[in-house]
Amino acid sequence: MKISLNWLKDLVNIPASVNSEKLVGRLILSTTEVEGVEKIGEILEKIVIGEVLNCVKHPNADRLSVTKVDVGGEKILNIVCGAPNVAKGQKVAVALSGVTLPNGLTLERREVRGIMSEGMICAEDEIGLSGDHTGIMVLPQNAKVGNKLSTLIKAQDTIFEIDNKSITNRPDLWGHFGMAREVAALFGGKLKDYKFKSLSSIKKKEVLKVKVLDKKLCPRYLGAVVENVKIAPSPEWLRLRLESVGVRSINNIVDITNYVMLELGQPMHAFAAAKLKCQNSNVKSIVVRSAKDREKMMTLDGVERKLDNSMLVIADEEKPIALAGIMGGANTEIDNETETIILESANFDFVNVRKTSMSLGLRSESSMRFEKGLDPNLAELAMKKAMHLIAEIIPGARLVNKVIDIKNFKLNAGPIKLGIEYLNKKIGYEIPLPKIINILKSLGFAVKKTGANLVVKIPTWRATKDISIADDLVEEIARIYGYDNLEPKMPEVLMVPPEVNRARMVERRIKNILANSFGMSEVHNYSFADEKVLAKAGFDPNGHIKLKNSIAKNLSHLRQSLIPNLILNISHNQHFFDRIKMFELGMVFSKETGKLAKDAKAKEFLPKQENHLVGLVLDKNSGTPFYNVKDIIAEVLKVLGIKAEFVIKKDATPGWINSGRLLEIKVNKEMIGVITELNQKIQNNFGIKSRVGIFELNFEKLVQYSNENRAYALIPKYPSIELDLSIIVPRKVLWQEILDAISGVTANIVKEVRLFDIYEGKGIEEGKKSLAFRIVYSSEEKTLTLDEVKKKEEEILRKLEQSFGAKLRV
Amino acid sequence: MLEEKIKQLKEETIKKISEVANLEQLRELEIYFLGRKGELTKILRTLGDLSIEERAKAGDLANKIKNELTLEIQKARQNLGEKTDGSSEKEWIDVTAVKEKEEFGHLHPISIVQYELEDIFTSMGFMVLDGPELESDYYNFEALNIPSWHPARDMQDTFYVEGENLLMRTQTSSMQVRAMEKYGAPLRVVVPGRCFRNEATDVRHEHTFYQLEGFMVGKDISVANLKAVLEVVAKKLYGDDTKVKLRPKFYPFVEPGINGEVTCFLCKGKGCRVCKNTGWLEIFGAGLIHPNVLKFGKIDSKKWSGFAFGFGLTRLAMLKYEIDDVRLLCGGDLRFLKQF
Repeated sequence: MKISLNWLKDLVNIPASVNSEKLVGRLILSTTEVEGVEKIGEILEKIVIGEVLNCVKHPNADRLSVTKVDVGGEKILNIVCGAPNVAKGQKVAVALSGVTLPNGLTLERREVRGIMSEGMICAEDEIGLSGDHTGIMVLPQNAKVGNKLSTLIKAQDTIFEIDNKSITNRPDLWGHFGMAREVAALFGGKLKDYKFKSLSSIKKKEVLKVKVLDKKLCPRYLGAVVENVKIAPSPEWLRLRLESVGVRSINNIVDITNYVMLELGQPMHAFAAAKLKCQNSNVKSIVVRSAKDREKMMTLDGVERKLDNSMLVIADEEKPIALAGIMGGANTEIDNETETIILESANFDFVNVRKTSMSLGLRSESSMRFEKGLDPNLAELAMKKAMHLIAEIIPGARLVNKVIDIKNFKLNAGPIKLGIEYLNKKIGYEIPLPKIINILKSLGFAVKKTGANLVVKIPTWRATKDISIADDLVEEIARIYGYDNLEPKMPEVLMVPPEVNRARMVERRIKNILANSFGMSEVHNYSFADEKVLAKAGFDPNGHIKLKNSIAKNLSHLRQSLIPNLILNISHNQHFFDRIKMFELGMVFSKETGKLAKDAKAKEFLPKQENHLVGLVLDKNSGTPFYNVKDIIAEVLKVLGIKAEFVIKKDATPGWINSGRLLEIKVNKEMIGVITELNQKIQNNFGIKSRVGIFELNFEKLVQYSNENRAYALIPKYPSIELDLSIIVPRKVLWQEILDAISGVTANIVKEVRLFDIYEGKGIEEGKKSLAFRIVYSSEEKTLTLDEVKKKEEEILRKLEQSFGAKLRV
Repeated sequence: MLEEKIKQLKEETIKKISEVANLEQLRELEIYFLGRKGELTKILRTLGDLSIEERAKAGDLANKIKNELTLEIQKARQNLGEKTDGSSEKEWIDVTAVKEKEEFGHLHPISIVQYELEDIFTSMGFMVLDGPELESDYYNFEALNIPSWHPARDMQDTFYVEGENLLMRTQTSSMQVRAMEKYGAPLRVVVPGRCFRNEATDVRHEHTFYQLEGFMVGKDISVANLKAVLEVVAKKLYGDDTKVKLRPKFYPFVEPGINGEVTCFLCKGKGCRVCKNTGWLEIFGAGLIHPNVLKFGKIDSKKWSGFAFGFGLTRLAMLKYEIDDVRLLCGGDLRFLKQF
């Protein structure tokens, strides 16, 4: 919302020491965000008034004119002008060469189609007075040639851009009057008297009937018939004022209603009386009622709206003529032929206005204000102001009979009991009592001190919902006093160590291992998934929770797995890296019911949401990244103190898994994750060129099973002996089987068996493979002799031969 | 037999070392005895013919002798005046060269900033809680004093899911009432996490972002307390000369509602590109917890009061690393992620 400093000054005395910078600074610290300050009309200082002495057609261009313009200088200027309305004898606004216009253009002498032009005759838009570019400005004949335009047009002003969001709680600040009241409180200035001229009236038989059928949704309705209205352009001061705060001037009546809204914050509407359908054409009838289901109406913006019975409309005897508090109907719009208008100044229920405006997707300057909860008293003030303006601007206009006023409201004006100690404790700082009382009074509150309390009455403009409890008053006092002026004070509390978030400890530990030991980088992907990507990645989109109102197609579902988005990451990054190692820890969403309650009743529960941990490894030179991720997971589990089994699984698996390369990770027989590779069909779907090793873990289970307890193992007293073996076994013999066989043989001198090579191919018989591994032997009782160790080794070889037909590779 | 040979070789070598006159000769000697095709190696080659036991024994001895001799040669070098401070020719390497290195991984910038803040707050006795991202209307709005008609809902474009009245949480404040229900008063909590707003993305807007909510409930908790805690946090984040500026701002779940700015860390308040020449950075929303919210959390607002505040973690990370396109954060591009 734009606020004009000139307009404020019409309403409040601002102390001379307060410049616009100071004003903005204080507004920001105590009242509202100010997004920008703009000085307008400065250009008028640089524009001079001239007279067109001569005007002829440009010899080389049909649409241009060549003029001689007197600007009070020694020389008569030659100016080429493109405006259709330029004519000899006009007083005009001239920008001389060297002047920079608000649009950034700097004028200079130049030839236009062969004729030298020494300046420009300006249209209103070119000097920022309005958006009008239909022709040049024609100034009054008494304008003095050679004077600056600023002597004629007083449009110099400072405009503050108020952030609308920062005043959503302040219905009283949606106009200049409310801002002026706030400024008065901030600087101790005084509001000027707000006086009205009354509109002359004429007594007739009844001309208007107003029926309010829903008084809850319409607590107040003022209606007035004004006749003998001549619709015309507004006077310059009104036009300039509206334009200065970004509102386009339309005609005198519309401008008056807009002016009132911008000044008082009260939206108004004017109907063309002749357009209301009434049985008795002499008595117009206005009904405030609920819309009928499927009733239709075209609003002023030219859109046909389908209504329902939750919406409130203003109607004549036949049809809706306005959406209450939101927008008027096209069917009763005033036009140049209108002579009699019905002026409306009303108050509507803020919830209903908001709901209707939301369900129709129609927000207006009016609905924006009503939905904040306007003071019903304001409607009356606004009507008076409108009458005053009509009297000023439209000679001959007359109020017919009296203003009709139907009201049914009660404001909660308090009083609120505010404990002085309560106040001080809440602020944490003692503000002197006289200061407190002064602040409240300056904001319009009535204050009485009784004992340890202040009894505070709320002014009507703050009483709709803005101020209702003692804490609201705490805010009023604190903000006007200024948060800067409060001494910070650390809370004094019992020293209690916070409960430890175990999940976070595990999370940080895992991320550290993955990043610092295994070189994996952390990725954050969206919690959403694209339906198409899901299908491409082997997931069934239908099993996913769907978003109802997503703005983008690729955000259609809630992710059930981290995999699909990570596959996208791989396919993107493979163009830049030969090796990719990444992981993500993030929440996935299931359609199953979880354990968190939806509300305090705890009868319904949210869908299950769990954190998953997924890691991916791609190496252009590795055909088995499976082993890399397996290695990583083994280490992670070890560090977390989790005893897990890796179990081979053979039956059906989700679409993205390579079932030939798959291990399930089990703890206490519970599956907590998998180690695998991306299946090659999906790999091809995404155009990924190398194999991708993947681990996927349920992070919640890692937290559950992680175990901080450790007991150290004795450091060996005696040296160990390491011997390497290389054997040939059938291709499908599992390393695990070999390990099991070895541990079956041994007493306790085999400490470790480390596989370092698996080889198939040249030199090895078809269907067989060679395994090379190192066995570490040691004893806790003595130094082993090579003899003892060799014997054990032979025993092992025999066992492997028996079990698998293993042969020593020579 | 073999042992004999080795010992003999040792003695011969030591004798020759003592006779050497210059470094050049010493070098030749070293190669002759200990080199890859030297005498010791020749002897060891014959090991293959031995039994395992003998082999081991001889091997051990040979190694021992080799070490002894290497040491002797080194001593002799020093005696002959070789420099040991690294200034000799053979010590020179190209120190500007690099070898292929083992790559480190990287935490996400949001994680880094989040953990830093968690540590600051836990050091002050705050517990760290996590909450659901798919949340009920009740905890995200109703219980925060934002009934369905409230215009404040316009401030947040919300993702709703099909079917039930559920939404993607628009703020981590959604954990306030959950935490109050679970722990009661007194209470000190921070909730970092992902939040969502249904808006189109561009350089400055992202539908997915991170916040950190903090709140404290206790006896006589005041605006002055809030100010002090926020100042401590700002100083921890941006240095001891950082200042905090508070001003009113409306949030339905606090009363008074406050907006906080801190001195721009880049220009120290002088005004720069990052702070848009104001010298201040808008960092948090805050206030005293509204009595209605305490009531929803089943905490008696006559006995207890509290403050709450929220930071945009995404914004903090962007400021910290001068990230000018918010979409990079959830973009999964390793060229970006490997910089942190």
